[in-house]
Amino acid sequence: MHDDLQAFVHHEARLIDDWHLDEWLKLFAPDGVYWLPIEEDSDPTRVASIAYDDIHGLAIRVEQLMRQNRISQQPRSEILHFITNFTVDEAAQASAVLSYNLLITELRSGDWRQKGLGDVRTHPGRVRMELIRMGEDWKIREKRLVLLARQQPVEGLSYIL
Amino acid sequence: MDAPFTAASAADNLVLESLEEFKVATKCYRDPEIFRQEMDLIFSKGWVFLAHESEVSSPGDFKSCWVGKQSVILTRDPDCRLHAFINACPHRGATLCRAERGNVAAFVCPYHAWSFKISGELVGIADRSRYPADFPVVDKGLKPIARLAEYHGLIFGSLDADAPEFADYIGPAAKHVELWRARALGGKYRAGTPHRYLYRGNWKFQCENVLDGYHANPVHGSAYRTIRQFPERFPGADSSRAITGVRKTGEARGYPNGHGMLGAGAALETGNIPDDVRQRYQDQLIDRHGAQVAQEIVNNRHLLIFPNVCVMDNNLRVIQPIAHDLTEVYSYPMFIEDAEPEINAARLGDVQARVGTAGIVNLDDIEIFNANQTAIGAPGLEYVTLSRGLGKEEVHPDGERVGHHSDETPQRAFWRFWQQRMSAGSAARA
Repeated sequence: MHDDLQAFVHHEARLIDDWHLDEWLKLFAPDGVYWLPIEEDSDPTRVASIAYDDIHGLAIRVEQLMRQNRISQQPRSEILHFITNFTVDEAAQASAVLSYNLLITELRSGDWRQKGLGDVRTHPGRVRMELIRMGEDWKIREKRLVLLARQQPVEGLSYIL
Repeated sequence: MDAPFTAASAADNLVLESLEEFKVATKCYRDPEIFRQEMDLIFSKGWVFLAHESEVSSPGDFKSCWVGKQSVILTRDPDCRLHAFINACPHRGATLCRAERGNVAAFVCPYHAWSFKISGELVGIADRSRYPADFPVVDKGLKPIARLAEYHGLIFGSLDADAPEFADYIGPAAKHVELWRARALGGKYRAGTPHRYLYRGNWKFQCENVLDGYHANPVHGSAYRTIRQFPERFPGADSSRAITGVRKTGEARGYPNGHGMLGAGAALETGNIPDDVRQRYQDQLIDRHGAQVAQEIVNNRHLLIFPNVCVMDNNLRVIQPIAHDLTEVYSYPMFIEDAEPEINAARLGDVQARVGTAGIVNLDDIEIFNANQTAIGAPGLEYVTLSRGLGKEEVHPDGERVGHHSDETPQRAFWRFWQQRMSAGSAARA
């Protein structure tokens, strides 16, 4: 079970890194949520978050990034996820809760002398992921990424973390 | 010691206006010395937004604010009066307050433990016996800033005792604040936790941009095309039709004290409000104001109050200069007290998805600002032109100018006042 779940987490991260976002979106359950809180443990319908998207909100982000030539993704971000301190917090036949530390590194390559290009940016954070079993597959009910710098001004978050 | 001011604007031909053209020198965005003068002549004179009243609503509440590069503490005392102080201990200049927000009974300096009431008076000097017997303490309270003004729940401060009355300063732009206030159904707003982000460009790029109806399709086309594909999420948001409509109904206004307004002349579709909730909200507005004014109230509108706060439909956006080429933007979602939860959830959802830290709209703007800063980072291109609608706008007796939605009318108002302020500084010292 542990290995199975860890493989899922690596796969999810790899899909973002490889810009296979349509496939990534399919990892979410129909009631799945992607949440980057500013205030941890707040009610995201009442308190601002960096992102709090249901499946439609995520589909909007993916559509804009994959097919609509968003200006802030020209050139596109190259992204690497580093995953560590992985634990399975709860595991049952049909559901699981995982947590891990995440370091996202991002670079928009190009003429590095232009403002905003050529900087390797890092976003450390902690993920809590809630999964449910749907048929053969695990699906994400909630991916909650608590960024270390969540209360600081963040630069250029025009991509999926 | 600071060098004496040299003639800032007029003598240096930074802002040039003729009947045919309105030009701004790219140096205004590039030059660290001009940035320093802006901090002295614009941010340290006149009025600067400090907070919304809800951020300091209870006795003991404080907020750490920035007036340009000056750190200021805003507090509410036990009698519910507001105070604002320079955030420095009068003893040896330590930063007194490190937290951005909070509630305290008193401030105690972390360096030598001098203590102050939340209303600023000195409470105690640690180990006072080693001071001279007649050591003056009357001026050892926290140093207040010169002026404070509350306007429809917005709190402004000025470091300059000679600043005009705020009502005179806002002038004929007041009607836009009143319309914004009316969205709250006679109740109050509450400012939520802000969305915050940075860009590597001059602060004035964002000021110009919030009033820019011309850039929407080129910069935000990806967002509009995307939204059009989710009609169930954004009912009635056929954005191609909406944009064409805005060209006809929208308008851009400029005011004598640098304020500007960009209005769509139509409501911005935020989506996600159940029909019955939306209807009840509309009905309440109509009951209060009549159908025509109710429509005007919900119409999309950006009001930039010079120099750096923008009152938007569902949020307040503050444009905080950090350096000539570094700017922080923070945006408070504004909740309506007593509104149905679905209304507030939709207001939050709208500003978060569209113009929040990871918004689908605003991050494309800041990409442009970064690129602007790169382009004008050297003096090769000496001027930019802000001439759209010049000579074609209505000019009212109170100084208000009205142009089409895509005109650069409000940007010109910004720059005219900017020039006035920057030149006043050099004239006063000449």
